[in-house]
Amino acid sequence: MSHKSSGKTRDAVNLVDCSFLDHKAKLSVQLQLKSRHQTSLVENVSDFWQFVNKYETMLRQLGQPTLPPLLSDAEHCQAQPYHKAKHLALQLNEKHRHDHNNNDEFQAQFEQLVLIYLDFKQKEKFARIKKLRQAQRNLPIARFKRDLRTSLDASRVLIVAGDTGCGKSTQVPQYLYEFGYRSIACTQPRRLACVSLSKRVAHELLDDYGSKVGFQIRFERQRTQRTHILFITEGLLLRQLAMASNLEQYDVLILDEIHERNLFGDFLLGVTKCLLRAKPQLKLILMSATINVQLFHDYFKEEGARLLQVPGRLFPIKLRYMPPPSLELKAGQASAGRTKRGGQSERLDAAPFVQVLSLIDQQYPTTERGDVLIFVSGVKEIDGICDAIREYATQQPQWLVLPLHSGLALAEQDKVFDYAPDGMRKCIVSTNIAETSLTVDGVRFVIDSGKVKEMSYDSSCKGQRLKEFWVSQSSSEQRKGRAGRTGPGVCFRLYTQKQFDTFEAYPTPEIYRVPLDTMLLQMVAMGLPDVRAFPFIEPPESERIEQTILALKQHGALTADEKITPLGSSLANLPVELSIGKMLLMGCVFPDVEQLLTLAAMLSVQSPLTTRAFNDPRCDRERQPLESDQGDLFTLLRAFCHWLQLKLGRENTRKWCHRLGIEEQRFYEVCKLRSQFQRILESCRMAPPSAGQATALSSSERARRHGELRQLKALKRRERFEQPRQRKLLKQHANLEAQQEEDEAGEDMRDVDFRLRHDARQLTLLERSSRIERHRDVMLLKLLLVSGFYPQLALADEFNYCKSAGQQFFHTQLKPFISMHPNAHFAQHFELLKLAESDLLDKPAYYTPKQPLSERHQLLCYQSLLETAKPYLMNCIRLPAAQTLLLFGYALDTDLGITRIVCDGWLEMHFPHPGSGLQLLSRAIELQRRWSRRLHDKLNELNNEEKSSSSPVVQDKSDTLWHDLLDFMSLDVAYTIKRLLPADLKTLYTHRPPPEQLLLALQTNPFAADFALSVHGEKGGLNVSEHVVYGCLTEQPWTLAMEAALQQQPWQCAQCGDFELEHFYVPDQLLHRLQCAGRKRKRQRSATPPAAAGSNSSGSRDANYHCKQCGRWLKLSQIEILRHRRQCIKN
Amino acid sequence: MSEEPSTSSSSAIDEQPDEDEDLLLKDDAAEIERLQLPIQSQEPQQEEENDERIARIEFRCSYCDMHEFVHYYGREPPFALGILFREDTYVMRDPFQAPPPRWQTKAEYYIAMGANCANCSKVVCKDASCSFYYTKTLCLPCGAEELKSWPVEAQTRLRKQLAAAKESGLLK
Repeated sequence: MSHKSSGKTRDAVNLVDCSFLDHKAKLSVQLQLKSRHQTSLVENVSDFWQFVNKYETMLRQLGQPTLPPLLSDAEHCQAQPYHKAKHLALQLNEKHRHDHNNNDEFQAQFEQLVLIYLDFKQKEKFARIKKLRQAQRNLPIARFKRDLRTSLDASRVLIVAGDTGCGKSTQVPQYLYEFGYRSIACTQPRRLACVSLSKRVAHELLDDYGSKVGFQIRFERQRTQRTHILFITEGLLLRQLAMASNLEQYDVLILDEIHERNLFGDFLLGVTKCLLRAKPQLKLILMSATINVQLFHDYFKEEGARLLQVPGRLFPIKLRYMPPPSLELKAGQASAGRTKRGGQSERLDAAPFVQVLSLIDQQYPTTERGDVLIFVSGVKEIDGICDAIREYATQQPQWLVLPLHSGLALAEQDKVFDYAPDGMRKCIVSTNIAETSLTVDGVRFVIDSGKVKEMSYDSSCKGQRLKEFWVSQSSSEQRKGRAGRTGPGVCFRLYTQKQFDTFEAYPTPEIYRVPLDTMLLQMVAMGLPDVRAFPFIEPPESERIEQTILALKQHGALTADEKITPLGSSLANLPVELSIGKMLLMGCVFPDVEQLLTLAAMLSVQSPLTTRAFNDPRCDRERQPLESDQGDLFTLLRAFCHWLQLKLGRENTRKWCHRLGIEEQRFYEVCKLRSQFQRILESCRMAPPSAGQATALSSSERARRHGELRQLKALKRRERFEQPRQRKLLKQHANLEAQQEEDEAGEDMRDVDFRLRHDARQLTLLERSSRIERHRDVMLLKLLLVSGFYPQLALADEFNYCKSAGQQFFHTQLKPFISMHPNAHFAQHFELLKLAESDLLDKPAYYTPKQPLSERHQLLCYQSLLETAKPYLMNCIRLPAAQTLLLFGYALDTDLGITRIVCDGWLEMHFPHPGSGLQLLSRAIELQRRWSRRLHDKLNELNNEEKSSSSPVVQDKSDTLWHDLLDFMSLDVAYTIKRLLPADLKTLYTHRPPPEQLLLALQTNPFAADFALSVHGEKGGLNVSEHVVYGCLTEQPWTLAMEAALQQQPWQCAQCGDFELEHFYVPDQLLHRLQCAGRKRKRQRSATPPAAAGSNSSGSRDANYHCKQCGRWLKLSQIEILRHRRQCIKN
Repeated sequence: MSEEPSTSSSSAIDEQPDEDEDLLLKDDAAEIERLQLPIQSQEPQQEEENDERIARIEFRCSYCDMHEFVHYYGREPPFALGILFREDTYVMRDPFQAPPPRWQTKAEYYIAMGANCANCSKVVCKDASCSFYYTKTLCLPCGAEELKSWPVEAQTRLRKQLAAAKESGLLK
């Protein structure tokens, strides 16, 4: 700034008679820089002017209003005389500045002021980084950085055990990055932790806006080529590791929070143990709280695991046991009341919690900061406590209530990190999510209910149980520890020391609490020859493993010798429950899978209907028009369809969802899941490319879409580059509603995301796929549902017809007397499941059993069995009983006359009308085999193709299978149905082979020609298909009576018309089948390959040759006729 | 099959070579596909080498051991429009601001981390317990030596700083 040399001659600026603030407009121009883009010298102009104001005031107060003359460049380097500007390392760069009057002292002094401001800001920003680094350095883990490095050099497995707050989750990945590792994966049990940790670590690496650190969770990922540290959920990493080609991807794996003992976590431990052998370069770091560390150390002993124990940083915590005075008494009353009221779950008493708050109010002045963290067992409890505290807060307004659980939207969860205003306290009411995974600073008081809600699995009835338990001692200690993170704290335990002493030492690992089918299948799919040999850290009971293997075999996922089937490996690829996966695959052989995809996605998300949807009569009313008498699933699909229609009309869906009590997030998840299913099925070519891609948009639509995309992307960009959310000051709860509205006023980012993914065309397709109203669509989907969920069937109790709504019971194969969930449509409209008076048919005289005879018996197929207060059937659909059982039964047993059929040894059907049992069964066998052959062919075709070429699968459009299935389902056949009791099973089977003459006569299988007949060694009778044993049931008085009655009747074959039997005797009819001309003709028709089928559609009319030898009509060329004739004669 | 061309034309809309391409959260299938190829392609790495947005200059304060990577050493950072430093300085792009589009810059998009001591030329950070600026950067020990030749005002300032640093134990 050489021009300043002349400044000395100018008049000095005196702030007594002027202020820069008076010339804002003129001076602001000077802040502008010469650049193509409107660039200013200062980031925040209003902040700058505030600074100017403060600075001027300060100078005036100090009595130094005259600004000293400015220095020349040369003077800047001389120590003498003193000038404040000599402390400034910055100067303005004239190159980038607009021309201005160099001689104006006022302007020159303003420039000086700008520099002072910039210098000040520089110091601020530097201090921010410095502070960050100091905080990192003060973490307990920091002192172990060197140890970590040497341990890692010496060993491949390292266990870092440290209590929460020691900084291991945030620092260890950064250390590894510093040590030079460039592909670090760190697993987390929860999605949320992945997101928040990746943000935190990015911040500490000063890379908030970069992509060095990324995360990957279901549906969402932020990861680029430059990502070096990846936070990933355990499940996703497992899937990645399942693909052999991915093994090289990471050079170090960190498994965090392994003490939680999740199913996936345990699974990963075993997988990584194997992986260490396969990949000599890989390093493995296990991180855990200081819980049961020895277990992990021993597990990796042979790998030479090093253990690094990091002490936590805890302030002293005062412990106070405060059991509610009448706890014992109340518990007794509650359980007594529960039985009386028939299982209504008792509400958690909020009084003890409020009492502790009031105690805090009395003993700790509000001038002392410190928030409260309350642990309860579940969402319902949280809501109850929150209500009570809000009420308490009407008198003690210093309390700010914040719920915290995993079901909350992210923005809602973030609120717990905000500051309470001075003199106020946050009261966070949380599930055990805040126990280890989420860390809220500033908590001084912990109130522990001692309860946790846990899902457990009951393998005896294959149901899940959600029950409240006492926590374990280790969880209890974790909860306590949350009070001492930022200063000394207090922990109030709402139970006694004695009770604490009886708690389990550690929580039960999840592997003991959930079904194992998905995990075991995954293991086999990964290539493990024997799952029993998997190195479990703590193996599940071998009996459960055997049970699971059996179920996998029944599902057709494993072969008899436990090899994976094509179905099994496809199932292992699908990231869903086995049953839903099977449904998807079974459906893939049908031409239209769009609806199935939507249905499967809907089944895979948590129920979108909140508790409010059922408790608030307004929601109930709004939902009424959408209710479907086909069951809740179909109601949900209608709601979803309506939601999509609103989206199509660009209406506000958020409000609509709120009105119906629908959690909108679930619908977004349905869309995402659906497209994920579609992609997976397409990528393994199980499904044809979706119509959404096949039909291109018109050019004008494309243009419009392009504009829309641009706009949406801009919105996304803005959201992403917005200041990362800073901790804000919380507002008082009084205007909670207003705040909610304010939150909602912003752009709905989920909607933006949704519109980014779906153009109008795709949206229309999606909407169409959710419109499932036609009877045949409903029935086909129901069939597919059963194909996935079988054997999850339930039969209504025989006395339901005379009982009230609350007394309706259902029986599953494994567990009798289960109720429908009270919120279910069928629970309120239970008449839908009953036989109407008009459905009851008269019985033939020889049929003596008491069960009602009807064509309208129904069965329920349920998605899950959930026990809360008592066991409930969840998500039921209703189906025609006999048809369903005959199509899907694993083991169907009949008597010789096919008048009795027993399914899986628990349901018995009687067909007292002559011939009806045979007709239904043989059709079922034919359809079932056609269906599974179709699936088998498709899967095989794909598996073979993968090896050879990759031409797209030709979809067989001339397909009558699903048509025939629908026909079959709507057959009117009269039968009775009942449950078998264990005593019945003793006398059920003949245990003898069928009559000698029948065996001799039956050379081929009359039910399925290509299935070799064999005697069933144990039950007796003949295996006539994969699932059916013919003639193994003993005769009963009424079947003998029926046989006797029919002896009098002749029988004429309906197929060929010219065959007659003197007596109605089913085995003889079966024999005739083999020769029956009509049937052969039909069979041949369906067996002709589709290529030739074109002209053949009109059937026998086209046949040009009638062979006198075999009595068949055939369509043959001249040469073929000759050939056929010769063959016939030979035979 | 005839579906091929139409598929590609429709996907062209979704995969605009847009500048904020990486904003679109890509799907799992694409992800899996991408993961199957080991990330070894040369292209991004070469691009990375030329990427001026990556901090490569190591900066480590000789006193407090603060360790960072900075983007620039000198007097005139290309990403800092409108200002100059009076001495060679270690400068970082401001990590707390959203980055401007490439080849552009924005106000105060820089943080001066430190400089070499004008006397002993040790690297020293801007922290008050490590360095002092009066016409030049000096580390505190060198500053203590040199301060006698300074005007009183500068001396008092530095003395204050020295006292505070001594208290915090960072200076022997």
